[in-house]
Amino acid sequence: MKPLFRSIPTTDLRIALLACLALLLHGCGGGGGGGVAPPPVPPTAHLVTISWAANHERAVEIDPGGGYIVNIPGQAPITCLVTGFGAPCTSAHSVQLTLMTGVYNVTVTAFSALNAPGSTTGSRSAPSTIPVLVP
Amino acid sequence: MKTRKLIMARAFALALAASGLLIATLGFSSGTGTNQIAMKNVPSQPYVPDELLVKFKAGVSIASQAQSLASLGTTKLATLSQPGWTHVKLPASLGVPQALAAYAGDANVEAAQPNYIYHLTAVPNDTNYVQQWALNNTGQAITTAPQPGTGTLYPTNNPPGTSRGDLDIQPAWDHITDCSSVIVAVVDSGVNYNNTDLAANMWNGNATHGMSFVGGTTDPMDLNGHGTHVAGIIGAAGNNGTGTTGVCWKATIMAVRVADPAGSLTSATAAAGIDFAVSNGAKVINLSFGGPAFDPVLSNSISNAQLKGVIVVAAAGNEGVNNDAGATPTYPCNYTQANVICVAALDQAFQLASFSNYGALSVDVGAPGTNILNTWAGTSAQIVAPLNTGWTFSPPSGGWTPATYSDATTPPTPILIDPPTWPGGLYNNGTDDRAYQTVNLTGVNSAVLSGAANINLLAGDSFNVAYRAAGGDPFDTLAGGTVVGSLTNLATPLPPPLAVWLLTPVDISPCIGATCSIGVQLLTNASGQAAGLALTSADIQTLTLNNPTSENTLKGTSMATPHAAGVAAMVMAYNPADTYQEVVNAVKLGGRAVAALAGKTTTGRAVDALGAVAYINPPTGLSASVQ
Repeated sequence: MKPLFRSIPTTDLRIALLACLALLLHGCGGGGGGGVAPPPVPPTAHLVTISWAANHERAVEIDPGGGYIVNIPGQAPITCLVTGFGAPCTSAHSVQLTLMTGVYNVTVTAFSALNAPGSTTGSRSAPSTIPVLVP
Repeated sequence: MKTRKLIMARAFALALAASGLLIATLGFSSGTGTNQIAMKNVPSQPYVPDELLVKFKAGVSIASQAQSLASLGTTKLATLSQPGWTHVKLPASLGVPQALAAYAGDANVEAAQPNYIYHLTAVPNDTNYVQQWALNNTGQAITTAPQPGTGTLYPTNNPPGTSRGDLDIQPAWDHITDCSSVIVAVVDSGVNYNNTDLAANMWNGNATHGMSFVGGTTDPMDLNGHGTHVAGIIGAAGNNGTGTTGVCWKATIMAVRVADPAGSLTSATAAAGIDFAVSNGAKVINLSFGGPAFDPVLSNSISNAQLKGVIVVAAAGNEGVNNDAGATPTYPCNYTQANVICVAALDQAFQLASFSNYGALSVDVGAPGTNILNTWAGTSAQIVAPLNTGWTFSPPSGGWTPATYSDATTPPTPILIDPPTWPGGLYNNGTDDRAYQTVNLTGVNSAVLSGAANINLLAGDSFNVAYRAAGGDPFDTLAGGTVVGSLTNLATPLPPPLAVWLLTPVDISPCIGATCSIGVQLLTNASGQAAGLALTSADIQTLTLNNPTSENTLKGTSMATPHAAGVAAMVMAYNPADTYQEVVNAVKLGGRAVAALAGKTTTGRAVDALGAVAYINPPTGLSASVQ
């Protein structure tokens, strides 16, 4: 009768144990359980395009002085005039710029030169918001 | 140093532009050899975004001027009449603030400024505009009396009004006065389309400027006056040197007649009128009427209007109650479709009018609704029937009897009573008491009978009202008499004081002529007795279509509603691409906060024409792509 198990040499056993330990440590890399943190992923720059639909108000879209203001956290406000826009506005209804890794709550506000009651600086809409995830 | 100043100026200009502020002027002195930049902010004003006015220093050659212009990519549009000034166009990449900053560093340039935009200040020249506090509240007293029988002036805060407590429409007229691209349907008692202030602003989709769903005619001529007044508030021709002005100086008013001369309408006529308006292109519908019942047929018509992008503006009601309370809703105000705007009435001090309904959940905005002067259908008159003389009685005695009533609060007043022992006695069983008299209604176009009575009747006994064009007994229906009203099972408190039951006005226009007889009847059965009747007033309201320049001063949420409807048309005409929801937002949210409306309406705001026109809806369709 042959034994059911083959005997394993001691050297082979040590190698196997080391390999298992290495695997175990590697598997803990995702965090939790007191494992070793992986090296941080360096933030990377991405080209982001944000666009929106044209408003229906003539004071925004047709009359002089209308346009949109794009607010991105950490950035200077971007003004896109309907008549006459420049970078980073790629049109009156879109901006394109580079953002680093992160989550940005971007707001777009429409404005016009038509003074609301009591105002001498035109009118503004309430802002519309879109979250932008930059990986 | 020079370079640093230029950079600073550019940075400041860019910062101002980014923050949304506008640089109004940027001038800098000449003659020192270096640019001494003086920037000052004045109240900003719209300017042409891609143009500038530039003044070159004296002695700068044409070639040097061209070089300065070319350095920024600008092109010369014209030379102004003032020495040294040039009108230039900026390249697309350069905004006005940036260009101003750049020219600040140009040694050839003495001054530069935006090409500001101005507007004509619009005030209409209509002769009675001074009485239209709703459009221009100067604190004036409104003294133009209502036509006979159509009400009284609202005394509270008349004067003093609140200066500028109005629709804020004069600054809005700087931007738009012509709403004629938007059809506004007045679903009401009709419109006198021949009124001088309305004729030019009527819808011409058919020969009669609309449609009638009452009176067996398709002609929407107004035989009440209410609809003509509503139409004038929306679109009486403005700046035509006569009469009044509407919210819109030019308009397209569709007359949709759904109410009879007495102002009565039904589910069927109202729904038919709304459906007609929608299917014939109306984009705003004014509904200055209401009732307490949720009416599925009317609601369906409003839903159909919503599907077609049509705004419905409805009156809050004139009972002075909370529409949110379960017992006192008012429809169509209380319908919840998103295309409905419900309007309460404000007085001359922008207080909620005492009669105006309200509701923090159902009434949206307020608008002027007291002492409103505008167009009327013709000449109104009131014929008061004498109650103590002129009657024919059947039987000649023992039934209806002339009498005089007075108590501590009531001066001696002629009344007509049955039984003769009223209020202390009881009427007879099995009686048919009639009283009638002849009224001359020659030459009028409509006649409405109304009145008041103290009534105590058991079930099975009745008080009836009738007319007959040929004269004689109006209860002889076989001879042409028509019974137009019947009441039973009522118990009005007996005097003193003299409490009365108001009789619903009824249209008796078929009785027009010289021999019209009107009558009252007490008809009782064989059992049971009560105190009977005291007729305390009976009058006939007439309207004669004999004056195309007639006007009237009325109060009610009926009058507040067309102010909002007119502003809705104004916004829709100004922003033709707007959806109905965007216009509704502009009317509601573009209004200004009014303390008297806080907690009384959904917005706490009064309609503000400029605010509505200037209102900007939040941008839509935001998307982002990341590469």
